[in-house]
Amino acid sequence: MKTLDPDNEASSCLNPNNLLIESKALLKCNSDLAQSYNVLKQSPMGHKGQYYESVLSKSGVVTQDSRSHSLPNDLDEKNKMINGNSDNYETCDINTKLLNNNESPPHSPTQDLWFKTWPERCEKIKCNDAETSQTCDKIMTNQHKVTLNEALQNISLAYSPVTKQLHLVHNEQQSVEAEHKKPGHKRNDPGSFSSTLSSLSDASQSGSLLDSEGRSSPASSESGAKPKTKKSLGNFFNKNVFSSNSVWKIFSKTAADNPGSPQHQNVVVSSAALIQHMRPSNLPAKTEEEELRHREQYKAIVAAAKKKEAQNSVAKQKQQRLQLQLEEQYASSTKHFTQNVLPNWDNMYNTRKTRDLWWLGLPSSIRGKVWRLAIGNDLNLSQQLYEICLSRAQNRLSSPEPPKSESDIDQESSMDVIQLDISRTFPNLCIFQEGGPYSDVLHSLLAAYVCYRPDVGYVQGMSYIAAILILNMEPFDAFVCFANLLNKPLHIAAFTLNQNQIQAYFNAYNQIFNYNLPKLFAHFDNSGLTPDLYLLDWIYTVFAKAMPLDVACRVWDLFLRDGEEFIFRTALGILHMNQEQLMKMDFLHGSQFLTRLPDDLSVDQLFKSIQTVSPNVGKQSFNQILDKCSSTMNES
Amino acid sequence: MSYAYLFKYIIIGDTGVGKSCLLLQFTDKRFQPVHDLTIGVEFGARMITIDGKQIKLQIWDTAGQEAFRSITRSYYRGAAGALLVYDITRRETFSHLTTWLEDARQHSNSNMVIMLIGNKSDLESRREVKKEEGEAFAREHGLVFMETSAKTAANVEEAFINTAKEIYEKIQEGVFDINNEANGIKIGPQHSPTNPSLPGAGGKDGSQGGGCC
Repeated sequence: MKTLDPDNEASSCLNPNNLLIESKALLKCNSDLAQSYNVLKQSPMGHKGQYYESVLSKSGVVTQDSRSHSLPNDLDEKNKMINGNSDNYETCDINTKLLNNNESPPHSPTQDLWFKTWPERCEKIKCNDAETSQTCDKIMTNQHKVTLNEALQNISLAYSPVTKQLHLVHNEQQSVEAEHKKPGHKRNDPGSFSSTLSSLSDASQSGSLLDSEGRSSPASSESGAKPKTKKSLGNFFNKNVFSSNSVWKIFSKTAADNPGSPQHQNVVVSSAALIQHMRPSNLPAKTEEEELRHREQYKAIVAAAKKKEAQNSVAKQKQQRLQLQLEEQYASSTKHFTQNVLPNWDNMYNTRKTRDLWWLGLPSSIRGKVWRLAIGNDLNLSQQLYEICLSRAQNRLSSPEPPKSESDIDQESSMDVIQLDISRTFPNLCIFQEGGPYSDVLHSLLAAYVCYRPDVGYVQGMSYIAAILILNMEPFDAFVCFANLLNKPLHIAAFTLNQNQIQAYFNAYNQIFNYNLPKLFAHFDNSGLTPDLYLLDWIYTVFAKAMPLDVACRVWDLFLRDGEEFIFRTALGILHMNQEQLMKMDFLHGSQFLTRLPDDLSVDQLFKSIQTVSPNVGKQSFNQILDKCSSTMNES
Repeated sequence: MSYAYLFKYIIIGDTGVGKSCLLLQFTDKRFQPVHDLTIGVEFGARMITIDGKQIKLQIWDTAGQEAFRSITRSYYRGAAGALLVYDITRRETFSHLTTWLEDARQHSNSNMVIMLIGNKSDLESRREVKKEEGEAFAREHGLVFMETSAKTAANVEEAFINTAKEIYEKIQEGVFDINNEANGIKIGPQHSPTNPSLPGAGGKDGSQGGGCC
């Protein structure tokens, strides 16, 4: 939805004199029209069909204030202000024909009504109170004699720059108030209006597309107050001012109903507008067949637009529902975790409810806290120790002279590698690159770890684990979690390159692979696609490198809930999810696919797949299988 | 997709010398200034033509960090060619060549063709290793040598293709036993004497056809 510049229009509304001058030169019609034209002209016209006309209705006054605006639909406040200002000089009586879409039509006294017109046809419409049922010609001749205010009060015209004609608009006691939150009317074929003829009722039926059924309720206090004007539309048409076929399409929209919250801003509010179906006077009359054909075409276009609108709104509603559901789920999850689990971790972390909510994904607001508690601090790392490691690391990094002892050389060389790898960690996020906000944080965390565990040193892959922790918690907490996480069996084996132990993990994985996906296992076995080719990367970075960050965080949630077996379960989930594809791939394609997972990995699909694979073989748990594999490895 | 031969390559060398970038330049003809680090191994493939024959290169791009050597060592097996890469702007990557070469010779088949590559030749101003040094090292150890730039693509094609040419020549000379896959050479499905092409057999190159439906 295009947002029009409110200042622009405000100025055009507030300076009727300017408009009058221009109007004489350009339009040879009254100022009212000129203003309308000016609004049209000044408003940026980037978007087709994004015009709004506001008609002010004020109750308690017999006449209604009306002005035309092009305003974004979320500018209620500004609009009110403008309306207030306009009272002094702009009191154009109207008897707006408001086709009401709602069952309960009354609008509040100060409520603005927004009308949408289509600039393609440039029907900029002003409504007024045609008390005397003047013809357009009459008004035209009168306009030089009246003042601006008088003109504004008396005229109910709309100027169309395209047809260069005035169009008199009259309002009956119907009001249109479309439901809000409906998608805006998008015209596929702007040309359809010029040549299409339809009756007023026709037009209003299709005018609001989806909303038309609900329209109606002749209404309200205003209409009752002015019975006289009821006739005037009839008069207007009877007199054939334009042509007997002139019709208006009426759309409605209420600004007051607009949801102001940013969340709803993308939802196009349904609109109110008058659209004239007028054939330009400079064109010869149509033949009957042509007319008929155009009418048919128009109907088809409207039907198509209606259908599309319906589809869009269904899709949008569904999306909104899902979004809302997700937000509600996160809200309740956050509440449960902050109120019940975090203060009472030991008793609560393993309850059914906690585990269920956990499976659905931790809200990012509490993710770091839950992760920290889930990882724990078995190593009893203190802030003091962290700072010692940190300052030692910083000394080492800044001192140019090379250390002498053997172990120091190892350490130093791995420190060099850290430098190289920082910018190669989540390169797409651009926050760990040189000069990025987390570059130093990541560097010092890894350097501090190297000082804390010189025997392990820095091994590639660590930077991803550290980065994902840094993204979710404070540096000290990230360090504690990092050190503790790397102290757990799988990662200590991986990062100390304990080949036997790693092989034991692979063997255990192969068993659950064969148990869950025997066909794919056989296929991989035949083509020589061994787990080390793809599993290493997944283990070393816990999927942080292989998956999109949001998906990786979801996997991390469960990895920290269920432990390392979840890594293998996720691996099988990926294979399960892509089983059909993988079955058709040879060694090269299969290994390429698995080392570069698709970017559009669906988290829901993945978790569904993960749910279908079991980390157990029969009654044997993964850990039992692993123990067996380890002991066999150690024996051999 | 049909090919006369499939050659397995392995790219080795210190971390950060540009192994993955060389591969990407060769397979995709593009350069990624900031590349993910490689853990374990990644794969690439490209078809080339030598002597009118289609040859498929299957390239294993390995992790460079010393810690991973125990793992990557096993990938030498069955490689017909190796690109040993150093960074001309970092002398230590050149100094480590000897250990890399020892490793490669020890764990590969003796006929593996090794191409020495001094990468990042576009960074002349930061050069730490002279071209002559690279040439001398290559001469001394019987390697083919080339300076390349994965960034500008200079010599990248040549590095991969010249290695393939050398392997092809060795096949012609009968040095390689092409029926032994441990040498890193596979004969294409149509050309294999043991797998006579079946009319309308679906054109799949894998001959395993696991029998499941």
